[in-house]
Amino acid sequence: MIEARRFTPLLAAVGIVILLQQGLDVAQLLPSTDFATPAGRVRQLFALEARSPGFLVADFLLLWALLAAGLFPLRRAAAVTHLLVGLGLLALIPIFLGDAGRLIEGMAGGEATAFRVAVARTFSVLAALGTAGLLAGRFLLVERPRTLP
Amino acid sequence: MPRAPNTAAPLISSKSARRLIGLLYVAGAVVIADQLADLAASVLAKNPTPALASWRFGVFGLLISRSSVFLIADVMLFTAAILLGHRKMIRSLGALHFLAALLLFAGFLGFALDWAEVRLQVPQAGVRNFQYSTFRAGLLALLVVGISVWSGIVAFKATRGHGKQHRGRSPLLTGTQREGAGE
Repeated sequence: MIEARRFTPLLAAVGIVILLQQGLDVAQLLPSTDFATPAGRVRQLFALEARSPGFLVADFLLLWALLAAGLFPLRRAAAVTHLLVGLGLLALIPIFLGDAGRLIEGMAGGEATAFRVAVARTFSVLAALGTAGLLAGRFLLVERPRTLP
Repeated sequence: MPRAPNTAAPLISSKSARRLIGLLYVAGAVVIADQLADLAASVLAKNPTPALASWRFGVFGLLISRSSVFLIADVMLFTAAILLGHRKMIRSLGALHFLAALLLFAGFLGFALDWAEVRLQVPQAGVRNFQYSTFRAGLLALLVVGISVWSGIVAFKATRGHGKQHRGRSPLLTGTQREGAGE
């Protein structure tokens, strides 16, 4: 028999490395971002959205490792983190839409269309991941502890 | 001492599920091939000059920037091998990981040596960004080397036992509950 349990810490390590890489990529943009202007805030959110698949995979691997290893005391911490991140992402939506609305006033033609598509994509990601974060947090808080397949 | 068999009792016995899981091998291999092809295209797009430290430095940075995707493909391959009970495949992956770790560490040493040369050519305005990128690439390279070595060790340790040991106890993949956990 293959001792599958031995691979569980590796799942967590891979999740942490992926999360770290995405975080370092986003952090690289921070010094050049002007959060006082709508353009700076929107640019940073676009960058965050572009890296969302990486964040999502890292989160999935970390949760898989957490549940597979049976680290149930950590479930509550993971649940609270997911709830906070989910709420944070949903709270960003009105700010993002307001900033994007201000920026699009100065655009026309193909540029405006491309910007609208990027805004729609980022809005969808913020809404979907925010909701998923809340649902995951609720699942981790409410669900009876058991190991995951 | 008797040798361990090439395959172990599979964790998934349904034929259709096994076929579906087998596709993870294909998916993982396609992801790795795609990344390598993309990397080769980026590197070969301009005239390759391996004699230049800045060229080698840039190529290593490009390779490391793709480490997340390689790690995801890696998880796919290991998951398929574990679920299907392919002991020989897990061991082969383990050996490949030792080789990858060795090559990556050699690349890291070269990267460190090239950094000393390249940093002198960086204009003052870009020094901070250059240092951050170097730190990021170096850190990620070391972490990936560590994970590769660890994966290799685990791959051999996890397949060391014989068929009758630990049978029916693999909560990672079978969903069986741990005794006393969380009660």
